[in-house]
Amino acid sequence: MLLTVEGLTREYVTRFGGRRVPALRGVSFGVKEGEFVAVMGESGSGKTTLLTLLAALDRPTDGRILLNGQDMAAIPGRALAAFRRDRLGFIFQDCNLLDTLSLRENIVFPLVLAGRPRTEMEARLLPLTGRLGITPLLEKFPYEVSGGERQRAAAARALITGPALLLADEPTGALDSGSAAQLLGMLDECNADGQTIVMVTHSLDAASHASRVLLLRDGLIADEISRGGLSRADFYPRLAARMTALQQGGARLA
Amino acid sequence: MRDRLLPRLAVRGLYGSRRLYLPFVLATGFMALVYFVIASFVYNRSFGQTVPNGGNIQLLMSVGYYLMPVVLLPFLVYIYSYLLKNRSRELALYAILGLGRRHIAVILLIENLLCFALCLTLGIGAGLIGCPLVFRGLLLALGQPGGLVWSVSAGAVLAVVRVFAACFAVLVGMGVWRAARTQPASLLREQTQGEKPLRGRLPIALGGAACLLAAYALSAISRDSATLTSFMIALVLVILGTYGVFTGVSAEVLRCLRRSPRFYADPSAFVVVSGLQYRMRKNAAGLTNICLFGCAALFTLCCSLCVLFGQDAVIARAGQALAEGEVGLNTAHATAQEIAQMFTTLAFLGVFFVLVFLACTALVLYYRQLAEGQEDAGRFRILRAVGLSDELTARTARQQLRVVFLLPLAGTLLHIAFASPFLAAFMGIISIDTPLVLFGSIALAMATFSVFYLLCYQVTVRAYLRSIA
Repeated sequence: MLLTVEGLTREYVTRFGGRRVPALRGVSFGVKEGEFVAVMGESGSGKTTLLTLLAALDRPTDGRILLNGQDMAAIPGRALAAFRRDRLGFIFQDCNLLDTLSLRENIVFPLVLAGRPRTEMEARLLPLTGRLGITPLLEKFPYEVSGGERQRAAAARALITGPALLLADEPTGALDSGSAAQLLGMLDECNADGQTIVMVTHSLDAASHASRVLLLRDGLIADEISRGGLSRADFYPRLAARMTALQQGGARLA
Repeated sequence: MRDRLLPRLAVRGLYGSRRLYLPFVLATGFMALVYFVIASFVYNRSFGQTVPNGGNIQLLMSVGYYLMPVVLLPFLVYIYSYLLKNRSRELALYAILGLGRRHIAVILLIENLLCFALCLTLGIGAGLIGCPLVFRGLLLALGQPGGLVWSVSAGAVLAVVRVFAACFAVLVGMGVWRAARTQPASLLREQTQGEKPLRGRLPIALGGAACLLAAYALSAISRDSATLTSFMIALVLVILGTYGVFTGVSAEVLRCLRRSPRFYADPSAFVVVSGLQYRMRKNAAGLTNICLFGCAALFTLCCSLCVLFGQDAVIARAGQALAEGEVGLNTAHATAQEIAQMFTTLAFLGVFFVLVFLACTALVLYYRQLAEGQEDAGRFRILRAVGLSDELTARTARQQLRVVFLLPLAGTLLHIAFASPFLAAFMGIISIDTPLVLFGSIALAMATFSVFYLLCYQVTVRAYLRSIA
């Protein structure tokens, strides 16, 4: 297993009254190397909390996250930023590109932080941007390009360090359907090249690109669907059916 | 419903942005205090009658009395425009929720009335406690201990109310005009576009440098005659020159830094340089303001110290000259005392203005830091998410602030160093011409100002770090 999540729990304490609100209530799953896993769920199901914990941007109340057998909780705070930088790549919903940097500078930024030589930056940059089709835009600033181009630059930034795990938080959330399809196609290609991906989304279309889908509900994994040998076109309706069943079942329970 | 809702919105608005308004109210309160003290001297009838030569002292004080509103208003307008910009989202939201322009005007009016009331309470309240002390102090310094007791004069209170009411009225008008002119939707939209790269960096930098050189040259050749005119011209040149140099030179330097290979080798330089370049023009305007307020404070401080340290020699010389002449010894003594009193009053007034200018400098510095912090908060959030460690974040932030806020200090010190011939010419008018006094005062004033500036910087850095945390 590349990533192992065991009994992951995260509670938030309300500011007044100290009431404990659980966002995740003991989530366990594993991700094998080369897998493309999507986590689906409604708003408030705990998706974002899960991703924040996987990204080591927050610490769990209980439970463990192991990446390549290494317990994230055991990493001291000082080394956490370097761990995030070297081992994980992120694609955020709102790109999170810095408006102060050109696309080129944005993309190589993790390498600058890591103190890599300039030649290595260029050597890694061009093949990546060539594949993503943004090489002609490298000198432009984020506010000068389209949303889809911004998101592709963000993907390039996430991939340039060659991360063990690529985390994507609603990567298509702010994109039009054409750009979304293009980005998902790019993720498929990366995955075909062996990149392990965990993507959080509430879009059925995005999730149908994954090889396995976890359905998150009220802080628990309510269901898990493997794509098996199905094509995307066949996987989509099955996924939709399971989602509907889960929601209606839940409604009956409530 | 309406007459309850609007005051409540106004109070909520003020309380919600208390971090912005508290320094504003404190500073205006302080200025009201200073103005109250000066006005108290001008309006105290018995002062002119009891204290020998009191009429002349009052006349000198009234110069400050008329000058201060002139300094006060532009400063308040500058600060308030910053406050308004920060509130624009809130005001836009009110407009979208269905409040008319008239309602927003009422809200702004109530807010300013509250600030006005607080400012007066603070200023006059502190004045009632502080004035007797200042009064005693000045009388002591004038060699007139005892004799006169300070009393509240209605005229002074009214003068403060009048001046500050007028200032706040201008601010309300400004707010209403601004609110009426802007479209709510455009206010809500986030402003994320960078500035266009500055065209003509070189001409601007060279023009600025030329202005500064011309101003310095004017100072160097200044003689007693026509000094005031050339000082005014130099003042305008310095304002233009400072802005030009801060804008043009910094843009050019940043561009070169960004092109250098070292840019990619140092993460914090990478962040700092790109961040500065992103909004250099706005930065330059802010830095110029800080620099100019600093210059006003420092120049006034130099003058006050010169008067303070130089007066003894002048008085002794005048006394001697008079005694050698035809007048009797008694007359000579009285005249020397008169001169001494004028000097004391002058230094006294100077110190008040120094305090006002220092308060201005501190406040502008504080708001500049807050503004930077707000603009950088989003940037640092992304940087941390991408893998900038907390330690490096703090170091980068501090490095950026150091670069930005040491520039105005350096500018101020440089300007004042070159303004020393002007200072000498001005002091020559009142016969203070000992080089030791002149340069000693300048050195002491520079040291004092630098310490004050660095202290303010340290305090305001916290405001910045808090807003990016």
